[in-house]
Amino acid sequence: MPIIINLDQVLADHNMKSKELAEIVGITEANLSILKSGKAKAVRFSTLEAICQALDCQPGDILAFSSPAPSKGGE
Amino acid sequence: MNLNKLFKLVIDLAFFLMIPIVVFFPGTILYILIFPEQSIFSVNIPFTESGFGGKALLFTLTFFALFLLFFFGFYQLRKFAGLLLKGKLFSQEVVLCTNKAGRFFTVCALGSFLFVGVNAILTNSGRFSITFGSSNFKLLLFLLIVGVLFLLLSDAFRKALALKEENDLTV
Repeated sequence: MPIIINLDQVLADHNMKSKELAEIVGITEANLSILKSGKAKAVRFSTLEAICQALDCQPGDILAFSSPAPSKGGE
Repeated sequence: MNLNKLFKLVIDLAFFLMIPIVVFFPGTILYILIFPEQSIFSVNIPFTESGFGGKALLFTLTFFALFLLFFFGFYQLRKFAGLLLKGKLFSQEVVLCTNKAGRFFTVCALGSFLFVGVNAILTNSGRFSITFGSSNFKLLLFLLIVGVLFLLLSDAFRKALALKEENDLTV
């Protein structure tokens, strides 16, 4: 997936644990884990807003885009 | 009693009523072939002095094969009813069950149409008999509709499953 989640990095910068963030944001730890592992298919704006507010950061600090490497077939 | 339970109950009843036919038909046919003049079973297979006619026997066996297809379709339907009762409506198993049931019913209906058509040509001097009311033809057409409906249902369940997975993975 070309969207990279840098939540672990931002959490470490703010010296915050996943459990604390999940409590502040109001989502389960399981859902936060899905988000951190990159398995999530979508993020609600309300969740993103709550995370940015809790970590005092911008959406761009958490999410990054990396273009996928071209396949060998050339397609 | 909720609808899911009623659905499972009716399907179970029909399924268990079909089992004796599946189990006893081959043995009964064998018995009748060995003892053609037996008096236990009344059969509608034409019997001549040299035994049963080859065509008649072939038709009987084809009819049984078509019935087996219907039975397998019904077995899948029973599995589907069981999954509904367990509340597993959006699962891969439901997609597979409905798809298989649809395929079995559709093939059974198409095969039966062919069977009825060939039978009509061979037995009615090429003329089709028309029955008013609920004829075999209409029932077979209904079975074909049910089969195609199950294939459509399977596709709908597949799409619903994908949407559910997407929803579950939305944070």
